[in-house]
Amino acid sequence: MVEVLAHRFRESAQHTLENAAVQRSLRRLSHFQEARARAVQEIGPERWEALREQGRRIKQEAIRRLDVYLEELARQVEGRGGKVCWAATAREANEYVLQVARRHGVRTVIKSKSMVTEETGLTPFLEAAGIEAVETDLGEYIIQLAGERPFHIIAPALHKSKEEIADLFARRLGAPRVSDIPALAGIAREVLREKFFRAEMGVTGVNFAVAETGTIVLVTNEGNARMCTSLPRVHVAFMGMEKVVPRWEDLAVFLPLLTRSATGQRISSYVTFVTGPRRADEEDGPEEFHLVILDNGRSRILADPEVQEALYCIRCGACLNACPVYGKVGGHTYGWVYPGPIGSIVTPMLVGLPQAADLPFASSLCGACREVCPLRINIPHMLLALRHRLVEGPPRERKGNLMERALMRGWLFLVEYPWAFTAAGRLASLLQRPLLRRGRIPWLPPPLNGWTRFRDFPPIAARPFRARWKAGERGMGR
Amino acid sequence: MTGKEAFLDTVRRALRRAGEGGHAPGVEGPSRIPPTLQAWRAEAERVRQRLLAQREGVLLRLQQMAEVMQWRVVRAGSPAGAARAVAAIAREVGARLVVRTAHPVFTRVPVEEALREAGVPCHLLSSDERDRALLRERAARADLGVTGVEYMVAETATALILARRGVSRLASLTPPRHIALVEPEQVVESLADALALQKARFLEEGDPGGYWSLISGPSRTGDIEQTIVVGAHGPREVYLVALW
Repeated sequence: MVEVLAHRFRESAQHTLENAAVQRSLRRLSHFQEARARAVQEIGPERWEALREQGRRIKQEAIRRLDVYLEELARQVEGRGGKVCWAATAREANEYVLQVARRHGVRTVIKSKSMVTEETGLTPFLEAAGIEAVETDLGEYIIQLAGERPFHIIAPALHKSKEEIADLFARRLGAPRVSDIPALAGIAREVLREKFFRAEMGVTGVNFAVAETGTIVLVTNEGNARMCTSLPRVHVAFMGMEKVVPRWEDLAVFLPLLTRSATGQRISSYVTFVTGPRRADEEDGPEEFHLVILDNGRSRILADPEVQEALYCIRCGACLNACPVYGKVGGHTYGWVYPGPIGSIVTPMLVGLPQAADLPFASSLCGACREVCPLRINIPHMLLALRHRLVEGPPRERKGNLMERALMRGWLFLVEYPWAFTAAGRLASLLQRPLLRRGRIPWLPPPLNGWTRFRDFPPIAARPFRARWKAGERGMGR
Repeated sequence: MTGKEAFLDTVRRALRRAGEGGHAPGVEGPSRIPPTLQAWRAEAERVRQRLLAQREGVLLRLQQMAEVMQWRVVRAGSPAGAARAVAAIAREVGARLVVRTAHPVFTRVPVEEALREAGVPCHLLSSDERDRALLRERAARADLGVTGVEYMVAETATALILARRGVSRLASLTPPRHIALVEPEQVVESLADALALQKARFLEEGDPGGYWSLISGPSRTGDIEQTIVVGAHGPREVYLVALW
């Protein structure tokens, strides 16, 4: 599994906030937001809400009877000559792929975009085993060359400027240094075209898996998933176990929900339905089809009524685009694979709450994520639930700050006893005097200096509000 | 390796634990049509009747939407006109090699003759050639691919193409230009319509089709500075040649 860096959230956030170039890139998120809003307007808010409602009901059904639908999915896949790997962990999934690759003497693997393979760290795993593994989505290819992680669920290289990409292509591919965007895309097309025709194995993700028919659905704009499923001898599709939908016709609900929320498109340039390996009389296509179904901690989410809804997520990225926190700290700060509001739930649940203790707090709880989520996942509610566990949960999940706990206890005492509150106010207004600078407190001594690192502390008023209220001072409340 | 049973046991245990957390048990499927052949035959029939009644409007909708989705639309008027349109496009783009599939539409649209007259070589990407390497080599070298479609969705200008005997996956993918020949009977209003018609077939024949490509305009990428570039890995120009 890919390394977890979520414990460095604060440090990394600071770093991103100071990076002017990344801040400029983040401003482009507004394009996604506007496109989504237009797409909702175009289909009509009424029809859109009906789709959301339907999508939610289908997901609810799929998740609550997940065992039934997974079993049916596997039965259908196997019935059409496909093979199914049940992987409890990332390691099992990766090793299965390596085994298949070894059996076929695979030297080159072409990959289309898949968050689950990011999660299992499949690409570095295959490369460590001496197999060339190439990302073929342009954004993923860029970050693979740069040795980075995806910055955004659907726009992995969002943070890179065209100049940076031109430098990267010149350095890593020996390409002439051009910085017009079509030329850069053209370079990647050329380089990857050769690999598409050479590779013996194609690895893809799965956007939806239809239990009824054993069909996996791939959504792309570039056509790389079509290449990965048409040219190589072997196709391996990777899915998190929550990707299953019960019926064929459910796709008419989920496809528009996904593409309109993600990029604001009515539909993406390509959608591919793959049901098993190539048929005996077909002209081309892979001779083997493998479906890897991954748990890797998802059963913990499933078992947990407070966060179970996180499994409804279809990875459209809309909550990232809407989130004021993501919009400033960017994707890498979240320290794992899934960034943004949904990542702040999925990451702690998959890697362990104490390892990602800052993430549930990386939100102002403004609710914008829930507002735009095509499945209306109640992200703010789940963030609160995780916060609650971090403070009051079982000791192994708790990550309380002792100082904060003591302060909260003290506060509780003060608000319970008016005399104590008044006395504390008086005392504090005396004690603050040496710290006052022009009516503000710009610095507090440790351990309270965390507050004043970035902002002033408001001083306690010389006369308490209640005293002024009682005296009926003029101008109050107007 | 975790076996199927162990995996599903974990899932079932998790579901039971969630159940103890106060979940409502067994939510029933929200599908409005029961999963029987009879019900879906009836649904498919309703779709066909509706499309028949609204044919003109749906075709008009397709034409408008196709342009929005960056198809280049040619109203050929007739099968013979469609063949001439294909030849004209091939000449216009300076095609040196055209590949096509063996879709039934080509029995009505004499593409090969029209191209021969235009002096452009045309190959069938088919297993008759026996040699897969040759098929791939031609698919890679061709600068124009011509295919038929099974369905064409008006609402999103989406061509649904089923790969099968005679219909290579590559014909609409590797050449930089793709022409889809569309007959009026293939046009449906929405993706839901196409899926309903295909679902009835699935329940009848037990097969949803091995490999479907849904194509809605040219290949695109927005991965560099969110600037849209066409022709990422698939065709950069797509033509919708309408037989009506």
